[in-house]
Amino acid sequence: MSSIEIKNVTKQFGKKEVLAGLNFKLEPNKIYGLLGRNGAGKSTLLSIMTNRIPLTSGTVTVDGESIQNNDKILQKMYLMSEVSLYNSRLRVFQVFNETDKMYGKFDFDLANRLAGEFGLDLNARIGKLSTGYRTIFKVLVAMGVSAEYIFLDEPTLGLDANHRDLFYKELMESYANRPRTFVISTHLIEEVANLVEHVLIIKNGKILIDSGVDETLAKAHTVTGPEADVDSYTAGLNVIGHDSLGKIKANYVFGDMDDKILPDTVSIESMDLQKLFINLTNEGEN
Amino acid sequence: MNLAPTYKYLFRISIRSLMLVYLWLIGITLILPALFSLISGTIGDFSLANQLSSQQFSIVAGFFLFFYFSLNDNHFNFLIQNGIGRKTYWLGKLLVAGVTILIIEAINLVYLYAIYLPIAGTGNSSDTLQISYEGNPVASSMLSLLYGHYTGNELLDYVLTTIVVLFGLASITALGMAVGSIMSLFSRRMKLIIIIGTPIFLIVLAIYISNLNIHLFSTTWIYDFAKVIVGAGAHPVEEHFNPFAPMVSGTIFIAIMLFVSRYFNLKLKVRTD
Repeated sequence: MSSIEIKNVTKQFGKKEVLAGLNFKLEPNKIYGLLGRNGAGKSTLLSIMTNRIPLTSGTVTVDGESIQNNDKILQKMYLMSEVSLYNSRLRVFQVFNETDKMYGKFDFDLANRLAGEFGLDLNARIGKLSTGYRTIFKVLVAMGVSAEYIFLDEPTLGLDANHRDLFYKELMESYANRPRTFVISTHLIEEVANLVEHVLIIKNGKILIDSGVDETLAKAHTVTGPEADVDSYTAGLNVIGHDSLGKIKANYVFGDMDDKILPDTVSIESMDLQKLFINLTNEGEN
Repeated sequence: MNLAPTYKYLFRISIRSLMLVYLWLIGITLILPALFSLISGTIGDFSLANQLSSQQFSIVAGFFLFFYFSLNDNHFNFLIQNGIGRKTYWLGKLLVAGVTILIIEAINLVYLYAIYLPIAGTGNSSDTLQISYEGNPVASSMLSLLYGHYTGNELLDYVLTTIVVLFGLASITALGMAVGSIMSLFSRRMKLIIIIGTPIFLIVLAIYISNLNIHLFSTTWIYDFAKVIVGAGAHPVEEHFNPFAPMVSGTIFIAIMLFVSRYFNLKLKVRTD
């Protein structure tokens, strides 16, 4: 297995710069969370990494080889995108067959079993599926395909809570049985927080965070107490946001805490990934 | 390069589309008139020989090759979704185009010899083939008239004319591929404007050309150049055309069109508009 290296990748649509010099690496057999607000450039980045659209500058390489029209490398990747690129007249089972012909070693057992569990009709035409079932169809192809890197762009779009739960469970099981890299781009951060090992947060076309989830959360703290005490304690720290309730205030700190003595009135708690994301990506702050 | 599955996929779709076009053609030219005759009570006057035309398959095949191989978006989307790059797609498409041309020409010949000539060739059909049929029938009677007597050797003339037909079909296909690859760069809205605008432009151009003094036109370099391309001699009305000329000019034209097609094909991107 090889890693994907993204170097100085920029993308402009007309005069608008959507990606502004991204640098990061995707390692084999890891589950990544690609997080960002609407329009942050997540889908554009995934499309560039799978050679669907050209980049403006920079490189995407695997083992030093460019992905540009490189079948050998492109066959290691599969992007489940929000927009379906399949002919809407095709039936679900036909797409399974075609995917097998292109990638080889499609996991029909898994895809057929999951179709039963999700209640997806294998004979249904893709164009006739509801939003939720279209997502399920795409998820099933992504789970069955033999690629080493699976990019899932909003994999739970339109799914009800039961189906989302089933998806997460099956994803973990599939990952345990056949380790490969998953990159999950989603807005439902709370739901994937326990799944992802590594987090990539994009803001305004730039990578804000690129580190392990545990490592990231270890630096995320909520400092709560009387407003004056909290402000005094967090002075000089990287405060990324705050909440107030009456005279009680919570300051959200991202980064190392200093060695100041903690006042009795102030408490420090850890922050969850969603809270960290919201505070990091809020406009006008930070 | 993952060419084999790409070729198989594109070939399957191409042949399916071609068969569908032929079915429509048979339905429109044979079944529909027969049904009308049956409904109107004139089935006794219905003649299969009169419904057959020596050229209908060639003309439809020409349109099919141009339009089918100008299409890109759906095939590209499917292939890039499955990890197939633009170079493989283009090469796969080129191979499928070549094989499809050969299949089409084979169908044309089978139709001509197995269906048309036995039914209509000796009957009272008013088809133009009757005029050109002089023991050397090929799919296109016009080309047979022009190129079918160049060497005087019946078999050789026949082979040469068939090759000219293949070059004609290949040129149409290559033109379709080039036009399609350029069109793929535009948004759906822009494509619509071009598709509507082009016929209007062509009609205006045709009116302009038809108003030109033909004798004046025959003194221009364009006329002389056109004669070289098609292999016409100094007196094109009296002489037989040289079949090797369109082979040379066709090769150059096809090479240019394929270059354009490949260049723009490598710029294809998934469009969501």
